[in-house]
This record gives sequence, structure tokens and C-alpha cells, in this order.
Amino acid sequence: MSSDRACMLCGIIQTTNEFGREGCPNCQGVFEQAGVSAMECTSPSFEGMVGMSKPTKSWVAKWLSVNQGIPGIYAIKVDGRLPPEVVELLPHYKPRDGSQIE
Amino acid sequence: MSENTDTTPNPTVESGSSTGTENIHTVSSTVDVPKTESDPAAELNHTHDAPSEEDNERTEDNITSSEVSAQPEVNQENDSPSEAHTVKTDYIDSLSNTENDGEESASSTAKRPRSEGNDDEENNNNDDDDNDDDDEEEDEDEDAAPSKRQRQERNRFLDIEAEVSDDEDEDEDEEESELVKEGFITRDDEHEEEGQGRDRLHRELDQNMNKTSEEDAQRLAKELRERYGRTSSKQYRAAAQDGYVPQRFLLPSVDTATVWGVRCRPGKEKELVKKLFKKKLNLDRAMGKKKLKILSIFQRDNYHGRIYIEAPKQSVIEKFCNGVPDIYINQKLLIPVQELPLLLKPNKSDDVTLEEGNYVRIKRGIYKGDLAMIDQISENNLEVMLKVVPRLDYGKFDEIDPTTGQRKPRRATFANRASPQLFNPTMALRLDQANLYKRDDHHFTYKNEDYIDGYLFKSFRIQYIETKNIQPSVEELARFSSKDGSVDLSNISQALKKSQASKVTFQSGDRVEILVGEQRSSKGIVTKTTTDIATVKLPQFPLKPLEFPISSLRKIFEPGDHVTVINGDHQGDAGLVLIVKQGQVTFMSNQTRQEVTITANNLSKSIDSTPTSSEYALHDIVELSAKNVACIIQAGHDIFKVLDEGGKVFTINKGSILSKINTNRLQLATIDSKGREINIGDSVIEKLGARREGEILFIQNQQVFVMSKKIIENAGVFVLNTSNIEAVASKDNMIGNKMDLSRMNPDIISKMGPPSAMTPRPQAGPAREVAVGKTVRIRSAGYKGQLGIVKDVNGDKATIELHSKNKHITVDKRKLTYYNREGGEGISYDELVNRRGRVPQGRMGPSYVSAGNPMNTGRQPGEMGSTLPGGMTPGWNNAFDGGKTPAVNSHGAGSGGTSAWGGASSWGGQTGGTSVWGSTGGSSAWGGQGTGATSTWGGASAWGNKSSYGGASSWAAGGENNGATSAWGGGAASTYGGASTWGNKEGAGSAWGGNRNNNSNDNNNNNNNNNHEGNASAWGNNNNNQQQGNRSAWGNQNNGGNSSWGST
Repeated sequence: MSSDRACMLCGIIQTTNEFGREGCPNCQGVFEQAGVSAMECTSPSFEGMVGMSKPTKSWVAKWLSVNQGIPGIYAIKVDGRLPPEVVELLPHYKPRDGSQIE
Repeated sequence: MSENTDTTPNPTVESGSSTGTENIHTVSSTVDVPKTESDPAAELNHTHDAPSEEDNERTEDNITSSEVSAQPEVNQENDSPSEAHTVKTDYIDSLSNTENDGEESASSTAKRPRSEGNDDEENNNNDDDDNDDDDEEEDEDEDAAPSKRQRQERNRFLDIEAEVSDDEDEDEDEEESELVKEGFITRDDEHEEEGQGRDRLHRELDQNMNKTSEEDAQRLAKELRERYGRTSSKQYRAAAQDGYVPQRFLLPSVDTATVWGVRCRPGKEKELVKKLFKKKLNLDRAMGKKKLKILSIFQRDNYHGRIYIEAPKQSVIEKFCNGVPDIYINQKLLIPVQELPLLLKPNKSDDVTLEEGNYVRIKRGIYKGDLAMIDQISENNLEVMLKVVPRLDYGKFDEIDPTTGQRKPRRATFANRASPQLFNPTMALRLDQANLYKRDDHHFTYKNEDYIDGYLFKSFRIQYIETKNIQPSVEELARFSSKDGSVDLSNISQALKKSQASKVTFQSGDRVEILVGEQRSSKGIVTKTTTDIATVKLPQFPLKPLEFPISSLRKIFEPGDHVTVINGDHQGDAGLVLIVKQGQVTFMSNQTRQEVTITANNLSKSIDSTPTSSEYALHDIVELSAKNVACIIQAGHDIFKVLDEGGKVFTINKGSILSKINTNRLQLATIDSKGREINIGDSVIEKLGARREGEILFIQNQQVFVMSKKIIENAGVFVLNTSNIEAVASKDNMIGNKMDLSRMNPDIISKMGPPSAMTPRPQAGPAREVAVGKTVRIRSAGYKGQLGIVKDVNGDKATIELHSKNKHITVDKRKLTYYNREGGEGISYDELVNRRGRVPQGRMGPSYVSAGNPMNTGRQPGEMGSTLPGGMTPGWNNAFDGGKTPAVNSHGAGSGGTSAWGGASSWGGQTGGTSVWGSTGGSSAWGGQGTGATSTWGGASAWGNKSSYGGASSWAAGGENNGATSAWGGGAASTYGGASTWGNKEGAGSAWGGNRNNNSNDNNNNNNNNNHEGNASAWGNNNNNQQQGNRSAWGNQNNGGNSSWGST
């Protein structure tokens, strides 16, 4: 449990090993383009766990904007801030740490 | 087959039949052109969806057209939207790179075996490869399979339109997946068709039709590529492609979201989510086509004992959760749709945002439970540098191996941790020097950890700190707030108060922006507030003000606004707004003259720099004690920094201020080094030193508080002595009045020793009217006998304020009798002038009054060239003769040539009183050149003739010019030094305390002939013949007498 991390971009929860080995299954392309490692974009501090089995169908997925991701376990809130290189690439990036009030 | 004429009224999705790529081109080119849909939401979704799906297609064969199909508008179409987008993607592919084409063809060939035998669109079978969409088909409608098969059969022979409409009729639920399939199929078909070369005619026709719109399409494709071109591999699509769909458009409806809350064993929520998710995956694999329609399972930390399952049907959940421990399947309820967004909000209401300076508690390690202060937050918000009171034992408990002598450090654990204490470098040095490195005086590194000012600065991960509900104890706070460990309760209470008061306050009239909800980012004006809710008038709804929770509002400021800080560390500060950025307002502080950045809600608009929260403002002069005043140089809410009259700066709290001195009403004045009068508000410059220039704030005795706008230190306030300032632009200067007030001050004058210091100065400025301010009785008709006070004199006319009634009258100043305030005898104006403005005193005894009387020959004062300024101490005549020795007031020297000083000056004399110093007409000349040729001092003046010292005591008594010796304390009966004479004998040299006639002082009195003739001046010789050795002699003795002074 303690070795789990959540991607700050898509929120997917994986173990630290998995992230280190393969990066984020959803966002690796973005990370590579930004030239940052997946570890920089993941956070060990997150809350709210969603087992997302049908991201495309689920309203929850849509609401959390993980509807384009793979099925998996996602976090609702991920603490931490993405490196600025990544944020620059994403014009509509919405942080998952709750800092953006909408 | 192909119907280009077939386009539906909906312009966003232009449909065509799926025959050939050429046909497809037409379609794609028109996709984005006109959007006249009435429903904005649909339009938005649609426009966003289109590109996303293209990317899907291009990157993988993973078609997720759910979004498109979910839109009712799209569903209305008979023609499949998926076709439209496949068409587009194909087009883009063909335009962009051959790589994707290769992929496509590869995938299509891969699918070909399955789709073999199907001509146009078919192939429900390859759904199995595809993901989710298919599942539900099988889940829900297991009976749909036969109908599909039927369709497949039909598809061979029917054209697509018929087939699609058929689908719709049969089961609308399936449509989306169906459409997706069709998308696949079409693409597969395209390739096949190319191979087979069917429908060439149609394609040609389409090509022709496309030519016109080809350019548009290329442009579109280019745009899309630019926008989404980097999606070459697995990507985070939601962020990149979705565009930005504001969450309010995603609000759930009963149709789209069904979430059930299911009770479970508290503490098991996460475990259950994982378990159920795994189960779902396993079930999917195991069940094949019969998959349960469970969309998601989630939990929130702040809802204990509950997990949430998103599934359209309750029965599915029951089926799904069957047999899972710790879940109470019977206790479930449907979550109301409007509560869903709240449930999935990333922020919990009690979340505390990490901020520097906040108090937190540490969750792990030896500092578990300890209070810490956030010093820094790392870039990615995941680590914080905490300031902790260290718990060190400095290796006191290290075990030393007896054989090897090696130290074996005891591992610090929570159980055996030391008590918290500030880092002690000397202890560390003594006990564990090896691990200590000194960086500088305040900074040590001990065991690879940094200690600054005694505190440990260590980085912690945020998951190991507790930010919520931190209630620091007084003891803990004390350790933080003071360096030496002593408890500063006032500090603590300040800190606590601050934390309690950190509530945002809105006032009616504040301009605010709404941050949350439907009216997000609209701006309005607060009309009413309660503790939690503010009523805001929005321009969109001018009639009906809306209510908002205060937490969802933010104040708006603009550069140039003047603001005051109402909360936080900078409370009371004020300044001009420079920048406003994302709710952070940067302003230039009036007090510190530095830029301060503060959250907008902690500010309030203010008109001037006066902090509204406090009674005392910057540059106020306050009384600290009865004798102590100070100037506020930094005003907080409760804490003030002041500069006292000694130039000392210190911090006080509000309670220690007695009161504020209102300097506006004060008429304080003093004189500068040049004797000019200066008042509050005048500009002065420092005479010596830094030549600081400023404006006088306050005058306290000899100290002047000056404020300069050019000086930053101490808010521009400094204290100067009056002798060190020069007036730059005082009001008097403006008028051109150059009176040297220091010369007019009797106190100062009197300090100058009579003869010696009397270096006469030219008198500057006109004389003051002596009559002003005097109590008078009117002698003229009308108000005769009435008492009043002279308020003003203009020529001969005096304006008198009557005591009897509130009235001012004008009377000839000579027709008044002047009195002392306490009564006494009245004198005429002339007399008053003679006395230099002194009215007779009612008191006995010497009272040191010297009234000017041009002595000598009894001239009338009025005849003098210039009247003596009344009230001035002797020596006040500008036209004087420098040649004569003391020669003050040499005017009168015309006759007899004696320059006399203050002939009439009586020292505490009553009229006709006994003690007269130099009576009128007397020959007392001070340094005059009278007949006696020697300078005499008060020849005729008697000092306290009949005083209690004995009648005989006289100072230059006698008054006879001829031979009378001026004696001080003369007289036979005098008990006290009768023999002392101060004055001269006739013709003799001036003897101070010379002989008396009776006294045969000669025996022991040493009369030294310093002077011309006669006895030398001696002071204090003996009394009546008593030879008691009063040997006091002043002056050198020729005769060998012993000089001694004042013995009896």
C-alpha cells in the first residue's frame, strides 16, 4: 500500500515499481514529450480510490476525466504538482489536488 | 449504396454512406463547417468528440465512440456518426503519413478473417476484440445475439441505410456499440473495397464532388494535426484531446449516472475497492460474453464504512457482491444525482491547504505527534521542510563496545526519544563532536541534519504530516515562539488570536467574483452579509440578488486601489495595489515601503492609509506615560512600533498607550538653533550630522519629532534636539519676522550673569506692546470701573475683554489702570511702560523684578528715543554706546555721562517697599561714569533693607552719593553680616563688602586695594567687632591677610 503512487495527470494508481518500469499507462507519451520521468509526475499522496472498469461508459470516469484512460484503479484526489514542463503541454490541465476551484 | 443526398438536417455530422474513401472525403470535409445547433451542450460535446475519436482511430484500433453516440442528437441520425469520423480519420491518415495507413491496413487485415464474407458493414464478431462497449450488449441483452445474426444475414443484401434504421428500431440501446462496429466495418470495408475495386463509379463521382471541399479538408486536417499531432503513442487523451469541457456540462443526470452507496465494514473500504475491481476483471475474463455491468467502484476517505458502486441496475450489484466478505449488500441506497459531484470533489471540506508558517503534526518517526511549523514547501508539493524542536540525546546513551572501543549509537525510536529541546551546540560539541559541523553561528549540521537557531529543519513527505485540526498547546507554541525557551504568553495569545480571526470578512459594497457554481467567474457587488452567506448583486440579475457562501467568493481589486490588510501577519498594513494575479494581490506597503503579496480576501479597500482596525495610526504621537511621548512608526492591529523622544525604537502593544495626542489642535512652539520660532508642521533641517530634512510632527520639551518622506528607516521619523535644527520654511519666515526669541526669553536672559555676560545685542523686531494681556480697570467713561483684560493694542487703542460680560471694547490705553492679576495696586500706562510691563506684585520679599526705568536724570520714558521694551530684562536697547563698559542702555548717559543699568530696577520691590535695588533717581550706576568716577554697582540700591535679615542689611544702602557706602547687610542692628558692604564708599574704589564706618574692620579685615582708592573689595568681613575671623576676602590681599570666605 505504501508503495503505491498515483499519476498526477490521470490519477491512475500503481505501485512505485510499475511506474518506474513502465511509466504511466495513460500519460507516458506526454511525459516523454515533456522529457520528465514518470516518477516526477506521480505522487505517493492521494485519496479516494476508484476501481474503474469501464472508463468510457462511466459517468464517474467522465467527471474525473479519466474516461480516456485504461481500466484500472484511479485516485480522486492526488496531491502534488506536475512539473511545469508537463503543464505547458496541456492547455486545459486541471490539477487533481483540489487546488483549482470550479 | 452511397447516398450523398442522404444528409440529415443536422449539420454537424454530415453523413454519407460508407462505401468508399472518396465518399468519405466529402463527409469529413463538411464536418466542422456549419454549426447551427441550438443545444450548446451537444454542440460542445460534439466538437470535442470529433477530434478525439480521430486520434483513437489513428493510434489504435480502439474505437470509443461512446461519447458521440451518447448524444441524443447524434443518435437521431440515421446515418452512423462513426462513419463520419472514421471517414475523417482515414482522410487524415491518408494526408498525414503512410505509417498509420500501414497500421490500418495491418489491423484491417488482421480482422479480415473474421469479417470475411461480409461485404459492406457487418461483423459484430470482431467486437470481442474491442473493449467495453460490447460487454454491455452481452450483459444486458443476451437475446440480442440472434437478431444480430439476422442482421448480418441481411447486411449482405441490404444497403446500409436500411440496416441502420433497422437497428434503431430493434434496439436503441445497442446503437452506440452498433455504430462503433459499423465504424470498424466501414474501415475494413474500405480496404476491402479498394482491393476489390467495387463502386468505382461512386467513388469517382464523390471525388469530383469533393474537389471543391478538398482544400477545406486539408486545412482542417492540418489544424487537427497541429493540435493533436503529438498523439503518436499512448497518450493521456483526456487532457490533451478532450479540449476543455467545463465540469458543469458534465453534471450528472438520472440517465447518465447511477451510483449506489453500499455499507461495508469500516476500515475495509480501500481493500474492498481493490478486491471488487479485481473480481470484476476476473469475472469479465471468466464470464466471456456475460459480463456484469459494473462501471466503477470507489470509496472516499471521509465517508467511513461505505463504498460506492456505479452500476445501472441494483440487481447487478447484488449479483456482483455476492459472496464478498465485509460488504453489507442489503444496506445500499441510490445516491441522489445532485450529491454526486460533491462525493467526487477532490477537496474535502476540512482539507487544509499547505501553507508556509502553518502548524502541522508529524505522523511518524521519533517526532511522531510533535508540532512542527512548515518552513518551505517543495516544488511539487509533495515534501515540506518542517521546523521542529529537536529531540536529541547527543549520543549520551550510545553504547561503547568495551573491547574495540567503538561507539554503537543507540537507535532513536519513538519509545526512547529524548525530550524536545532546542539544539545545543555545546552539548553536541562535548558529547558527540564527530558528527557536528558548524556552518555559521546559527547553523549547524549534526548527524547530517540541519539545525538553524536551535531548530531542526527537516524535510518530510506530506503523507507523513497531519494538517487537520492542529490544536497546538501553549507549551508547544512557547517552544516555537521564543528562542531561549522562555514563555512569551503575549506572543502566543497573539498567534492564537490570529488563527482564530482568520476568517474572511466581506462588507456590503465589496466587489466580488464568484468562484464556484453556475455563476462562476461572474462579478457582482455584495449587498448583505451574514457570517457565512453573502448576498451578491450580479449585473446579470439586477433585480434579484443571489446568495453565496462566503467561501465561494473572492474580492476583486484592481491596480491602483488602496487596500488595507484585515487579516494575517500584515494586518493593519496598507498600500497601493500593484498587481492582481489569480486572487493574489501585490501591493506597495505604506509602512514598510516594500511589496507585499496577500490573498485578496485578506484585504479590504480603504480610502487612506489609516488602518481602519486601529485607533492609532502611523505617525501618531502617543502618550506612553505622563512624561513619555512617542511617535508610532509602525502600526499594526495591536502591536505598534514606536520611536520615543530619546530616539529609541521599541515595540509596544495597544494597552501600553495611554492616549493619542491630537497635534492638530496643539499650539506647541519652540525655537530653533537660530532662535526662530518653529511650530508643528514646519519644515526643518538638521543642523549637524546627516542634514536630514523633514516636517515637525511634535515638539516635546527640547526634542522635536521630525518626519521625512525621503527616509525609510523608522517610517521617516527621527528625533532631534531643538538646538540642532534650523527652520527651513516656518510660518514666521514667510512673514519675514526675524525675532530672536531666545533673546526674549527671560529665563535665558536671567541665566546670563549680570555684568559679564551682558554682551549687548542689537535688538531685532518691533517691541511688544506691554499692555497686552494685562488686567486692567477702565478709567474712562462708559465702562468705568470695570475689569478686563487687554487683548490687543493698536496704536493708542486697546481692545479689552471685559470680565463682566463677554464683550470687547476699545479704550484709550492710557485711560486704564493696570493691575497684577492678583490685584494689588494699579499703575498707569506710563508706569507700566516704565516697569517694562511688570505690574506690581502683591508679594513681599525679593521677587526679582526688574522693570526698565531709564534711570539717571528722571527722564520720562516716553521721551526716550526708543521705548524700552517692557518686560525685557536689562540691556535691551539697540542704540547703545559700545564704548562704555557695561554701559547698557547708554541712552541715558547724556546727562552726567553715567551709563546706568536698570536704575529703577527693583529686585522684588514693592512700590515704596523696602527692598529696592536702585531706586528711582538714585545714583546707583552700574558701571556708570558717575561722579564717583568708579563704577558702582547699585550705589543707592538697597536690597532688602527691612528684610528679615535685619533692617540694616542693605546693598549699597544709603543712597547718598557722598560718602555713603553701599553696604550689604549694613546697619548696626544687623545680626547678619552687618559689616559687609557691597558698593563703594564715596570716591573710594568699589568695595564689595568694604568697611563700614562703625566697624573697625581694619584689624582683621583685609582691605586690599585693588581698586583705586580706599579699601579693596572684600566680601564678607566680620560683624560687629567680633573678631571671629571672618576672613573671607575676595581678591588678593596685599597685607598678608588670610583669605577665607564665609566664616563666621
